[in-house]
Amino acid sequence: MKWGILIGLWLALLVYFVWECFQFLPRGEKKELWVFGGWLFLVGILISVNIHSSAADPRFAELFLRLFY
Amino acid sequence: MSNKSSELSSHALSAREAVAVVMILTFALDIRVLPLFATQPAGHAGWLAVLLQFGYMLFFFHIFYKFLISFSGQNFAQIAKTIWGRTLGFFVVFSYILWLLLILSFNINMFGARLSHSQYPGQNKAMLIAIFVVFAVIVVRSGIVPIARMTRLCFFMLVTIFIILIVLWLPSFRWENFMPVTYLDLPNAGLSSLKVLYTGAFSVLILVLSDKIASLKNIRRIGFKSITLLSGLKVCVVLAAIGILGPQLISRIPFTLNTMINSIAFSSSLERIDSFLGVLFTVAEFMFIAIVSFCFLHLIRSLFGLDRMAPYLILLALSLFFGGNYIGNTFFALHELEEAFIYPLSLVMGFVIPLLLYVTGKIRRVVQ
Repeated sequence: MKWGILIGLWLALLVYFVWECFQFLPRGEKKELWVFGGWLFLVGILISVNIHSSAADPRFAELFLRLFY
Repeated sequence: MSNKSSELSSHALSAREAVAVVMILTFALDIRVLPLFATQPAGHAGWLAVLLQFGYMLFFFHIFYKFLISFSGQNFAQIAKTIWGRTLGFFVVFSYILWLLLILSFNINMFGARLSHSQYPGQNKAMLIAIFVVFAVIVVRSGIVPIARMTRLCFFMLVTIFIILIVLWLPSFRWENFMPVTYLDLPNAGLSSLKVLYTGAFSVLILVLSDKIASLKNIRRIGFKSITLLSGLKVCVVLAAIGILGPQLISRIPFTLNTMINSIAFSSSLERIDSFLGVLFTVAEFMFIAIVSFCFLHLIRSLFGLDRMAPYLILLALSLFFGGNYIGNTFFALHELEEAFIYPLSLVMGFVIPLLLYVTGKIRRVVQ
């Protein structure tokens, strides 16, 4: 079930990226497209981590404190 | 000429608006952390810590003023690249972007936690975070000038309300809670002053907005007056917290000011004052999120030389919502993260790096 949601998420992000390509490229905004694509990729990873974690899994704060303290 | 000046006024901040923006950032965090941080480890001498941080804030605002007049009309990315070169300047500004993202995620989660703890018990925190994020992005879309004008009004209301609160708290004071204060309390007060300084670290964002400020006339005088007013208010709030609750109890309560407000029962008409104040605190926290979100986007824009920011608003909303949800589950873990990581990191980003930039700029004679 979760893998289905993750695949759907990345497909949706890909469709969104392609749509934005049609907004940026006609204006010649290649640098803006790179920044957008990079940020979209990082957001995709963040959402994937959120979806994959269950309520009992440690979050960023707990993981950070376990690693360093 | 009149068209140009009206363009400037609609797209640029006045000195008062710029200072108000910075002050509300400090105040919004103080609502949550001031009594707790002031009393660790100073205890009953926590109000001394606020007096000490007043001196630090004046010094650092003077440094920010020097940057503003030396690099008038330039943004923070240009300032960093001019002083430290293109590569190091790029990495410094990128680190500020990551810091602001961490701060936004953390504070959105904490604000949601405060709301679900105080006004909406049992409410799903994720829904509160989503509402915050949606409204913040809508406000950010309009630009910094409307945000700054709302901030001036909100700041004035907050200051007025806190003065009234301090008067209302007086009957509940137990004066034995903060006496005696001796010279032996000074070292602990010094340590606490660094913790209280954490909320002042966000005054560095005035440099992020430096290219949005139309006129620097009197900005130093306005800044010094505002810092003096705010510090006086903070001393009174800490005195009230220590006087009403005592330093031991402050360290055990997650949201101290909410508890203090519930102690006000002057008359039956004022018993539900906590609802009204909760709304005011929520507005201040919302202004914090909106301003820091704008600064986050503005830094990305200035670092990469982007023209339009509208396509990135959805990415901002997604980053804030999922970042705010993922950063932590429990209040305890978030509090420990703030003490162990976010507070020292904010001191470095808010004060140490600008100080190093200033010293380098002075050596290279690019800063007045």
